[in-house]
Amino acid sequence: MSLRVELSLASLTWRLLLGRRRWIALILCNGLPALLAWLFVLEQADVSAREALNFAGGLLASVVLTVLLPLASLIFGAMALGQEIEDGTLAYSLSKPTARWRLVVTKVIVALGATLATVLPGIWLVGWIILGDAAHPLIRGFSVGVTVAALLYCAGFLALSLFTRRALIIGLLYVIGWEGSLSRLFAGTRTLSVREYATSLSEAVAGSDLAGPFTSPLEPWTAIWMSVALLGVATALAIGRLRGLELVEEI
Amino acid sequence: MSDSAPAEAARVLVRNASKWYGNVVAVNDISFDLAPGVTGLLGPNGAGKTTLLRLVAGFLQPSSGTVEVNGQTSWRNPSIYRDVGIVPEREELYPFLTGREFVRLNAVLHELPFVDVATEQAIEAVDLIDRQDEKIGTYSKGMRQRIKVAGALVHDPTVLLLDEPFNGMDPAQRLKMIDLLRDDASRGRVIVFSTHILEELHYLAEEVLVVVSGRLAASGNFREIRRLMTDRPHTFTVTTTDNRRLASALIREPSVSGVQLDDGHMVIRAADRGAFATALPRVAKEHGVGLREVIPADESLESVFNYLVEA
Repeated sequence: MSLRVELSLASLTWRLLLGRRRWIALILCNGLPALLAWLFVLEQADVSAREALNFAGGLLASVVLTVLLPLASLIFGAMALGQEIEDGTLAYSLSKPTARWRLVVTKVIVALGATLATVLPGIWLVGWIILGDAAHPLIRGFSVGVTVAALLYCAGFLALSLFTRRALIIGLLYVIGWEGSLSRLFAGTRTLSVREYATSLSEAVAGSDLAGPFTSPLEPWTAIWMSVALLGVATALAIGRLRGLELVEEI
Repeated sequence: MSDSAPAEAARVLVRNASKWYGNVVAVNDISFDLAPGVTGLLGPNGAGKTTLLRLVAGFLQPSSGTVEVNGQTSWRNPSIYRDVGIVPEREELYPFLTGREFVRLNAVLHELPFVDVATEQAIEAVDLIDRQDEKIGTYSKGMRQRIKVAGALVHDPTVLLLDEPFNGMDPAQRLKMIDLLRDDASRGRVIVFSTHILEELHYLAEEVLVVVSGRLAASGNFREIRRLMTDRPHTFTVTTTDNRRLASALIREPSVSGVQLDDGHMVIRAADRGAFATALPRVAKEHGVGLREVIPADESLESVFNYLVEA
């Protein structure tokens, strides 16, 4: 099977997602954690390695994992197909013999790429500025956790955009209400939190002694299996929905 | 696009198709069977033309009935798009793509073997070669319509569905597009286009589907449709050597329901078209009046449409 179709769709989606000067937001999102890291270094010249590690971990957990990552995933995941549904241009992709699963998988991968482009360089800059090494084990671990979380969020929000035109609002409520508060209040809900999967995987890759703020009661294998299940369900729902999607005009 | 005719005759078959949204019925129990040629889908705004085209295009699931394109169900069947080209009504396109990139994208998504050749031929067909490398965002409305048509034609479909394709085109562009579509139809394609502008239909299609309030009010050749409408009087403009004398004779004929003398001619309303056609020369001969011109005044598309909408 040629990948020409996927590459063309990916190029189109990338330009859709990052057109209209959205790349400025991309630079700002990467710049924010880097700026905070730089301010920390300026203010705290003589800090121990442990303190620097704790600050870097706390910064990444609170700014990137809690705020930037879910928001970027929400915007790119929901818009990867949602924008074309909204303006009617999806008709040009759907009026082709392309299997719908190829459309969904391509769109999820591009949304993931755009999300990672929005947060990963910032993470590496934090590592370089505070820890002196962009490939520090803490940064590597966090990068893995963030990548998995971004994939799950993008697949989930893309599926959501196929079921409702209010995906951005519902997604925002989910990010704030569930990931931001409820899932952290009750131990039993943590197995249903993408944030917890990311934290657990980050801790597993970085090592417990380095992880600092990345500690989760969730076992890494539980996080892996739950991630696979969630990804499978979200993708299957999106493919099924796209197969039966009606392009309805206002009547 | 290739110059060869499609191997098998293309066909669109709609059987008792309905589409409703809650209590709103958009399309109500419509059936038709389309062979190669141009068919105009005519109706006032909001009549259900776009919904009907979307049912044929496989973009909507029929609430009841069946819709087939070339023998295959159109709903949930992406493989039909190998044979179908679609020009949606909505103007939105990808403004950041050039015209050439857009048509090429369509060619790639159809997995054509010779993408660049097909792209160039399609753009040439709509006469946009000179502007193909400009961004679609800078195109006029008419140019957008033409590049959409190029995108729909790039894979040489046997069925072409166009929703209000002439919107925004200037008269010269319209004539070129009409020539293109006529040429395509003569090569065995089923072409269906919707319009609410009678003039467009008049130039392009003899066959019409008239949709009014979601129902198929009439289908077939529009002149035949008019002839079959026996409950409506037919109007003829007649010019003779002695209009006043023939008028007084014709008014006594049972097939004539009214005669009006006008400036240099008379307007005759015939209750029975067939009987009037034999009565007119007979009566004229009996009274020694010469017939100079007999013109059916209400076989125009507009009058047919008005009758059907008012019915």
